[in-house]
Parts: sequence; C-alpha cells; structure tokens
Amino acid sequence: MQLIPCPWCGPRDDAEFHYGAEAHVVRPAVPADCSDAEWEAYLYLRRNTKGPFAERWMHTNGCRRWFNVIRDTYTHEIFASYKPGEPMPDIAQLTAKKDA
Amino acid sequence: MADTAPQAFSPLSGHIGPVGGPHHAGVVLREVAGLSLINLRGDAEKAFAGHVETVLGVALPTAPNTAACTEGLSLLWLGPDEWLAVSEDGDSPALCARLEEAMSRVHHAVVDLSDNYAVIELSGHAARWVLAKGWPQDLHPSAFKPGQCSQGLLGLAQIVLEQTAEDAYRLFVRPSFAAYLWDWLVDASADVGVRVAPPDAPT
Amino acid sequence: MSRQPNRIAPHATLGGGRIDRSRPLGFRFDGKSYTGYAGDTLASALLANDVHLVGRSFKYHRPRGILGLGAEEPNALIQLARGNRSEPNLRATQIELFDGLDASSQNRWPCLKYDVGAVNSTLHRLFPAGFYYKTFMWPASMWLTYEEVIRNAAGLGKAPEGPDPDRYEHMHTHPDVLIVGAGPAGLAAALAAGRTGARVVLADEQAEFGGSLLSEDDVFIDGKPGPDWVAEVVAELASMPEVTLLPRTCVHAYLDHNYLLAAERVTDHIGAVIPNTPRQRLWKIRAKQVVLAAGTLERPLVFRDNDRPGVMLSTAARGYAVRYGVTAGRKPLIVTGHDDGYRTALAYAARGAQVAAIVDLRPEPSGPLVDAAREKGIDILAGHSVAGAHGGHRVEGVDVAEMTTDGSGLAKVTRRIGCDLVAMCGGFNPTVHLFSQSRGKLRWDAELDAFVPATVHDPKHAPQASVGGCAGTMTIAQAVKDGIKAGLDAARATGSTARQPAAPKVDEPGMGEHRTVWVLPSDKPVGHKGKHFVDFQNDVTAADLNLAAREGYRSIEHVKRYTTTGMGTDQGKTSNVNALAIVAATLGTDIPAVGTTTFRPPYTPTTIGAYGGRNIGKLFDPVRTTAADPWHKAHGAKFEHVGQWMRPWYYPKAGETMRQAVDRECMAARNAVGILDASTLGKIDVRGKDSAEFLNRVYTNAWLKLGIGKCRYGLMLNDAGFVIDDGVTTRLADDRFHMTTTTGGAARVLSHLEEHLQTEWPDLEVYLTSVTEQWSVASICGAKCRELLAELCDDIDLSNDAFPFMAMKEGTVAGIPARVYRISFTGELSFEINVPRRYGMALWEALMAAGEKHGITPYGTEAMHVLRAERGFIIVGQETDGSVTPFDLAMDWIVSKTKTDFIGKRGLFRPDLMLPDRKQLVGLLTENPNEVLPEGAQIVEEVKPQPPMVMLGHVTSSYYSANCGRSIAMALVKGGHGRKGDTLSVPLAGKTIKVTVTDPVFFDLEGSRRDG
Repeated sequence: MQLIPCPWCGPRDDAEFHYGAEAHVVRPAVPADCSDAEWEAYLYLRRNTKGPFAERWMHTNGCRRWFNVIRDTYTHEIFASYKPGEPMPDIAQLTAKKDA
Repeated sequence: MADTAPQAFSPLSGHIGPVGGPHHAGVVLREVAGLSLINLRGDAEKAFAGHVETVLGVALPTAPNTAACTEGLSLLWLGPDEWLAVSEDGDSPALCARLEEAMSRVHHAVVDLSDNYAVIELSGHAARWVLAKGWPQDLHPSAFKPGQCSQGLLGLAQIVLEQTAEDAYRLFVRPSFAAYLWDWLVDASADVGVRVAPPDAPT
Repeated sequence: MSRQPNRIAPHATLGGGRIDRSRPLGFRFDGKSYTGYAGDTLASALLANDVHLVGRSFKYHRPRGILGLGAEEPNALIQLARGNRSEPNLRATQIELFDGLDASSQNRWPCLKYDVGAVNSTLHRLFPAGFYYKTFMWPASMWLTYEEVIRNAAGLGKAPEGPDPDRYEHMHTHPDVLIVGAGPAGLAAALAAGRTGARVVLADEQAEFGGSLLSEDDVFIDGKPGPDWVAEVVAELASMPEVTLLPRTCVHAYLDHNYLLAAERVTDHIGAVIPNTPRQRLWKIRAKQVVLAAGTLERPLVFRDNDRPGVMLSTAARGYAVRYGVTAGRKPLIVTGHDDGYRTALAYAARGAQVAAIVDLRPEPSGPLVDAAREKGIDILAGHSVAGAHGGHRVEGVDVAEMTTDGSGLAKVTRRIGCDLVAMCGGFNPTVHLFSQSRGKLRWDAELDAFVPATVHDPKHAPQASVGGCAGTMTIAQAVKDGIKAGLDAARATGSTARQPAAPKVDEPGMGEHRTVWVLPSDKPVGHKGKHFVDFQNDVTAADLNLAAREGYRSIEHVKRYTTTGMGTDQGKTSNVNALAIVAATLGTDIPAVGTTTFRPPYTPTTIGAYGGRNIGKLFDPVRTTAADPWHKAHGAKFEHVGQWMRPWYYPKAGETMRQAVDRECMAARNAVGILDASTLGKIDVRGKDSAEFLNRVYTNAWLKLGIGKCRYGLMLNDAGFVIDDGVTTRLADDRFHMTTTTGGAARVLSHLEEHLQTEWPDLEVYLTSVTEQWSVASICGAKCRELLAELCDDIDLSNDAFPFMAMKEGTVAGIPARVYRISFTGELSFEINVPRRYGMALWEALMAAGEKHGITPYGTEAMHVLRAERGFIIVGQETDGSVTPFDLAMDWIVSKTKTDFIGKRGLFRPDLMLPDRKQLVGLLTENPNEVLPEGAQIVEEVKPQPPMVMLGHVTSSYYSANCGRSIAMALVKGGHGRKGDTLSVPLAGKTIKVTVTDPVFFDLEGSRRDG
C-alpha cells in the first residue's frame, strides 16, 4: 500500500484516495473550436509513462481535494505533491536531485 | 393536523440493545443525539473567518485535521475551505440563521447537517486499541491527540474522528452507516469488554 | 501415556532444551496416541516418538520424513482435524503442540505406510519435467477431466465443509522501527532502538524469541548461554512501554512504502476457543524504518534418494536435539561442506549418540570444530561424497566414496555406511524473501555461494536495513554488532539522539572455509536408478532441471513454471538456489546469469480468515437503510439492494405473488394514493453566486433564468457526450440550489462536479455539500394525493395555480417543517415531501394513517420502475450504459442549442455520435399482450436457425403494466427512431417473440395526469 502525500492532510494510505490519471490535461477553453482530432485527444489520448509522471489524485476519504503528484509509475517513488493551479515541477530536476 | 408534536428518532434509536455491560469494560459506547452539526465553507484568509469567530466565539482552525474548541462547541477542520461546527446547542436552524446573517456578503456555505450524521462516542482505556483494529491512521499520542480530528475509513464506513480526551473519541458517520459502525465497534470491542451508556442528549 | 523413546534425558551441563518436562501433552497422529511436552512442535514430538514417516510426496507418493525445523519444511504437511476449524497443509515443524491435538498426514491413500499412488514412483520415467503440459494438453477439451483426476491423486489436504467458526481481526500499527526476526541480530536491534524510547515492534514467527540461539549449545553471550541472554533481553524489552513484542507473528508481506503485513497466531497454540478472542490477528504495519533480521535457511544437499525419511537438514537435526531434547537418530551420519555440520555431530555425540561418520566434501577440513570432532573420535571422511541413500520408510545407510578433486565424479568405488539419520549441510541462504519483496536487488556472493541483499529499492520511502544471517553475516558476534547499529540508526532516523550501547561479548565456534558441491557425484549418472531431489514438496529432481535446460528453457522463471520447482506452498525455501545452480551448470553459465527467482508475498501460507478480518457476516458490507426502514420491515416489504442501500422492492400482502403485489401497487399509485420512500436519492446543496452558471455548465439545458422556488429536470453528460446522471434541481435562493441525483450516482456525481470545480473552474464561487441523508423523502402520488396532503398541511396552498408542477414550497406537514416539491417520476400528480431525517418515520406514519381512507398504498422500487416506464421516463444505468447520448434517447428537447458550451456539448458533435444508425431508445410491444420480454434480450430483424444473427440492440426495461393492461418494454435499437411501426424479433431459447417498435410512452400519452 503506497503512501500518497495529500498536500493538506499529509501522507495517507492510497486506499483513501481516488486516482485521477494524467495531470495538466486542460479542458479546451472553447471546445467548439476544437477539431474532432483535438477533442478526441483531449478525451482519450494520455501518456502511458513508465517512470516519473505527473498525475492527479483526490483525497476521497479525507479532505475531498484534488491535487497532483509526481510519482514514478514503476518504482512507486514519490517526488512531489502540489495543489491544483500550481505549476508542474521540473521532473528532470526532481529526479536528478535524488541521484545526487 | 397532528395532535401531538411529531416524534424524532436518532439514527441509532431502535438499533442499540439494552444499555449496560461490565463496569470495568475496556470501552464505553454511546450515541450522542441532539447536537447541532453545521457544515461551513469559505475562505479562511478572507472575512469569512472573522464572521465565523464572531458568531461561534472560536477561531477557525486552519491547521489540517485539528479542532478548535470552546465551551459546548468544537469546530473541526475538514478541508482547506471546509469545517464542521459541532454544538451542544440543539437549535441548529437558529445557529444557521445567525451564521448566514453574519456572512451574507462573503462567499460561503452554511449547511445544516444535524440530521446528516450519527454521532457515536467511544471512550475507555481500550478505546485506542479498538479503533486501531479498523482505522489505518496513526492514533499514537505522538501522532493524534485531543484537539485533533481526521477523516477516513473505519472498517468500511467513512467517518470523521475527533479525539475529545485522552481516552475518548467522537465518531461522526452518515446515519445509514450508523448501524454498521455500531455493530463493528461492538464486535471489535469483544476482547476488551464493552458497556453501552444511555444516549445522552445535551440540552 | 506412551513413552517417548527418542527423548534425551537432560544433559548435566547442556541442559534439556526449551521444553517443559513437567507438562506432558497427549496428541494423536493418524489416529494413534502419543505424548509430547509443552514447548514441543508437532515435529519434535513426532520425532520424540520415533515417528519419521510423516507424509507422501506430491507426485511420486514417496515416503517422506521431516526435513527442516521451521517455515522451510517442504515434506511434513499436516492436516489438523478440528471440525470446521480443520486446516490443511500446515507444517508440522511450526505447529505448537497442545493437549488433544489431532493431526493427520496428507497425500496418502489408503494409509501412510501402504500408499497406492506410490506406483507413480516406479513409473517415474513417465513423469518427466513438464509431464502435465506434455501429456494432458490434447485434446484441450479434456483438460478439465484430467485436472480433476490429477488433483484427486495429488490431494493436498482437505478443506472443511462448513463456515469457519473462528474470529479474526486486523490491527494497524505505525512503529518507528519494525524489526523482523527475534534472533540475536533482531533482539540486539530491538534493544538498541527500544532504549532510545522509539516505538518498536519486534515480530518473530516462532513461539519463543531467540532464533538460532535456542538451537545452539555452544554460543555464550557475555558469558551466559545464548538462551539466558535472550531471556534477559526479552525481559528488558517487555518492560519498555513503547515496545510491542509479537511472538508467533509471521511478517509475510513487504509492500510499498514500508507497509508490511504480519499474521499473529493468537490462540492456535492453545487448541481451544477463547471466547471473544480472535484466532489470528493480521497486523498492518506502516513502519518508518524496517530492520530485517530474518536469519538464514539451510540448503539441502542434492544426492541420490536424498528424500528418505531420516535425511534432514543439519541445523534441524541439531535443533531437535538441543532445543527439544529429541534425538532424530541414534546413529547419525553428517554430510557437509561446511564447519557448521560438525556442530551437529558434536551436539549428538555430547548427547550420547554414536556418530556414524562425518562425510566432508572438503578435501582438507581444518579448524577448531574439526579438531573437536577428531578429539571425540568421530570418523571424518574428507573429500568424500554421499553417492546415494538407502532405506524405505527410514534411511538405513548411505553409499560414500572419495570424490575427484573437482568434485564432478567419484575417484573410488563406493562403500556403504549404516546410519539412521543423515544430517546434511549444503550451506546457508540468507532469508532475503522480504528484502526481495520490497523490490530490493540481490547480489550473488561467490564467497558465501548465496544471494545477499545488494540495493534497497526505495530508501526514501522504504528505509530499511538487513542485518545478521539475512544480510549474509555468518557470525553471531557480527550479527549482534550490526543489529545494535541498525536498531540505533533506525531510531535515530526518526529523531532519537541516543548513543550506541556497547556490543556484548560473544563466544562462538570459529568457522573455516566451506565447499559447495551442487550435485553430489554418484556412481550412476543423474536420472538413472534413484532420484536426486531438489524440490521435495513438488517432487522436482536434478534430472528434471537438466531436461528442462536441454529442452531449451533459459529463463529461471520459465524453468520454474515448466518443472514446478519452487512452486509449492513452501515456495522453494530449500530448493530455489540449488535449482538455479543446477540449471546454470547444465547451461554452462554462472548462477547470476540464470537470474534469481522473484519472491512474492506471502512468505508462508496465511489463512484467508486473517485477511478477511471482521469483514464477514453482517459486517461484510454496510447495509444502508432509511429512517422509515423499521416500518417497511414491519409491513412485510421485500427488499432489493441498490448499491449499499436496502430499498423496499414491493410489499406483498398475504398470498400475493410479486406480480400481483406490483400490479396492485401500480394501480393504486395512479387511481388512489401511492407512497414511495425516496430518501435514498442523492442530494447536493449548491451554494454561491456562480451556482446558476455552474449548473449551466454541468447540465445540458439552461439554468440562468430558473425562478426561485422552481424546479427543473437536468441531464448530466460527460465530456464524451454520454449521459451519466439525471435529476431535478430546485432554486432555493438566488445563490442556492438543491440538486438531486440518482441513488446509485450520488457519490459519483458529487465527485464529477467537485473535479470540475476544483481543477477546471476554480474561479467559480460555488460550494457543494452533500445533504443526502439530511432529508427523509416520502413521495406521494395519485388521484387522491392532493386531498391527503391537504389534511396534513395547512400552511401551503396546494391548488394547481398556487403550487404548480415543478415548484417547491416550504411549510409544515404533520407538524414537521418540510420542503414539498411538486415533481413527478410517475406522471401522476405527485408531491415529494422532504423533512429532516429524524422525522422521517413520523412523516411516513402520519401519511399512512391519514391516507388509509384514500386507499394509500406503499409501493417499492419495482412498481416505481413500472410506473415511470409507462410514461417513458428513463433510468440512468438501465436505459443508458455509458454509451448513450440525449439524442439517442430522443431527448433533444433538453439539449440547449444556444449555450456555447456545457460538459458534453462538443462530444455530441463527434462524427460517431451523429451516425444515423446509432442505437436509439424505442418502445416495444409484444404481439401477445401477456408476454413479458426478458430484460437484456437481443433484438434482430432476421431470425436464423441459430446464432450468429445480426443484432440490432437489446431490451433495457420490460414489465407487465397493469395500468396499460399489457406488457411494455423499452429497448435500444439501431436506427430505432426510424423504425417506429416496424416488426422485429426477439429470439429466445426455444421461441421467438415478435415485437412492434413504438414510442416509449405507453400511458397517458397526452401527459394530462400530472396536475391531478
């Protein structure tokens, strides 16, 4: 059982959370302007990253907030967790720090 | 029209067996009925916070998972913009009205949830042991103590847990889960002994 | 009481072991009575009674004896007979003896000594590696038949027939330091960590702490015998308030981020049920730091017929003598490539046994232990091999001969030495299972000839240390030193500043170089005359592994699955490394190149009951009920599950069938008064100045201009354009709405809305609060419902003009403050009365009492479904399945043409969603009005004698409607909107039903009844 760091409540068992897949997928401001291909990409096309990945979680059984986590999908290492609206940290920098 | 005042039932009325149990029981369980439970939403960094303090007489706790308490009232942090006011004063509509009035000009939500929760008090020297059977969060005094609250799953029920004293907790749960939670607590207390105290409705 | 022929009298200086001779315990094995002592395991008690034959092997049904001392045991699998508490596949080496224990051997028929299956052994040439795959794969359809026969023949124990009567529970704990294993390293770590005041959990799978120290009589710590030091340490640990000692607790799973699972056997060793006490407790441990001190597992040697009962691991043979005071043989022969084997010889010699010989694989053994053995006059055969063992139900002797220098063959002819015990020492494998489960990387240590921990997987989130034997440390002095350091480091990492205590002085025999020979050379090649067993439990031999390698298997993972080596309940604790070495040798490569096997949880088999905990019976899943539930129960309602809710389904009167009850309820709900408990609908309070704008974005229709006190039906889509929920939302104030959702969708909808508010539109001033259970809802409908309500409510003008359809009024009903909504899911005049939950029962009873004269009839979910279907109202999740658009439902009227955007709008204009032949909602009428289509039935145009047929769609809802006097159905049919009036077919088993496609509205086509 992974420990997911809620930016408010701190690390909690992953069973308290709902997984929200890739983060920073922004809903187009004017959907009507999207081509079919663009809308399809927004709806369905997601990275399937093996390695550090920015993803969304919701603290369903806690404070009910959505937030973002940089997590290695293979090793389950967690590099950062941040609130919605905050910029995505530089993943390369985060993971490099670990090796140093 | 009805001739008499309508009868109100607490969520666990009819479910709890006879009160009583061994005097030295490890835990004591009781349903707490008649509390006012009011959900508050607002921006703690804006005027909202001051209005809450003016009406309730206690400052909004902004540290996650903490509770601010004053005589007959505690204010539980539920989220960065969400709190639960728990008042021994059972007149929740009046309290809601005062809150609404105070903060009519700021973005807020005041929602009476007095009927949306059942409240169970769990106390006794084995209370922590019993909770730890189903509560995945750390309850050790170095991690959780009176004045703290937290949301999570106890067994299969989503609850708000407030520690009210060294060996006493309040559990807030949706009424439809109350019977499950009660049965779970009674079952989990079997090894330490359980006494059921009469429901104690504060005035 | 039977005597215990192999029990050794207590030794003058070495003592009598860890058993309590003043407490004899009676037990039964295969129906025969024996006696052992408190402190025994079943294995030690059986050996004390000279019972060596304890089971038959899995494939060949060869007689098998006890091989090990603990969790590693592959042979002695036992069934405990305790009625519905009976449990199969327990290791006799781990079962603590209790009075009245009743055990039986497994995998034998008709009895252990004369087993029919043993014929497999003589036909062994028919059972090569991959035998099952090669033989039973053709024809594929026969596999199930083969499997049943094979499983019967294999018969790994029996499951009890009835439910498990025992209690189990879970326990969460969050120590600063979890220490796994209470041998010398673990105890030292616990002491060092505990003295800092840190929260420590020390768990060991055995009943008694001490690990290997309990089985040695030649180790002294600070001048005291090992067990005395253990007792002192344990006493100090027990006095520390923040230290939790968990004996009989096997840490068996090491999961992400230092989450570990441990199963505690709370009452298993007592053999009686202790009221209110769980049988086992599953500890869920989230540790800040983990110290693994799991010790080592000894490796068997691979030689011909090394599975004869009486051939056992050297440390096991020694453990039975030292710890349990039991001699596993009067004439032991030791075969070893390691000085440790000499300790067994010396332990037996000290207890009066006549050691037949020490067969040493090393050409020139030397060192203090070798000297001690020589001094005792024990015959040492240096550079020798055991070419094979003899005996049937018990080993009788071995063939020995000098080896060639490289150990690949015999240099001389064999000679036979008689013995009744062969103690073999093939070296030691660090118990790296948990380390490996935590995804740590292993390294092959060529000096130890074993895998040792190399790299911790995730030191940031799963900080851990391995110490002692499981780290490859082979002396107790070093293990204790490392344990102290690891315990202290772990405590310091969580904040302690304590200083390191001094390490105790350890006196233990010095060890010299060892020699590893993976397959002992013999006078006959491997695979001829006799078997060299590698995996005892799954009957995998060296010849099988050779064959697999020759057939082209290269990956050890494939070899494992092909030969089944390491796949038994012991997961190859004694076999994995030997198997790797043999495969590597056959392939002409080295062991690391072949790889390691993956260790997966659990370390040892764990009961399902422990995992279930108290989530069984009435606590299996919460059953949610409404405030009026006691009334429903008292009035004979039949219930149906809707998610976790238990809702009244129908209320049969005496003698009524379900159909009769539902027909009656449906008629009454239109012609008199029907009452439905609608409390389970999801309810959300929407608050803030942007609430209307928010609703405008999440519903397909327009919300900005909805008047206060007015209600509107809304359809919610996802951005793909598919319907996900529906419900009525009411404007309570300029900045406040009361939204309702479907019962099953309540949590999902709130989550969907919060997601958009928090992540897409944080600028909107809207707060959502679930109020589902704040309100109890009684929905009344039918011709007389206005009259009924008027009797209970005098502060709301109920007339059609004052209180029109789709409006809400606040008032008092039966003396209860209420919100009354004039909304309808039946098409009838209808009022939904919402009161605070505490008054839910009072409201219901008041309505029932006042409604009696109007023929008030409670109706359940079944009648509700029929009534709404009569009017063609959809149920999300029944008429929709996540791939249905509002246009498919012919609900174009609710999709705003003028709004520039709402969730789902862009999706609706994707090409696929605009195709003319999409499945569309229609009504179906059967030719025979009394025939009710089954829901889910497929609809076709052209019926063929048998499938496949071209399927046009399926029936989504189907009922008999008493109000219509016939059956009615709704269906999703390809291009259905253009097929009105067509005749289609519903082919069923044995018959075909003709149906006419219609509008999905069957009753009150003009919709005139909603105003009463």
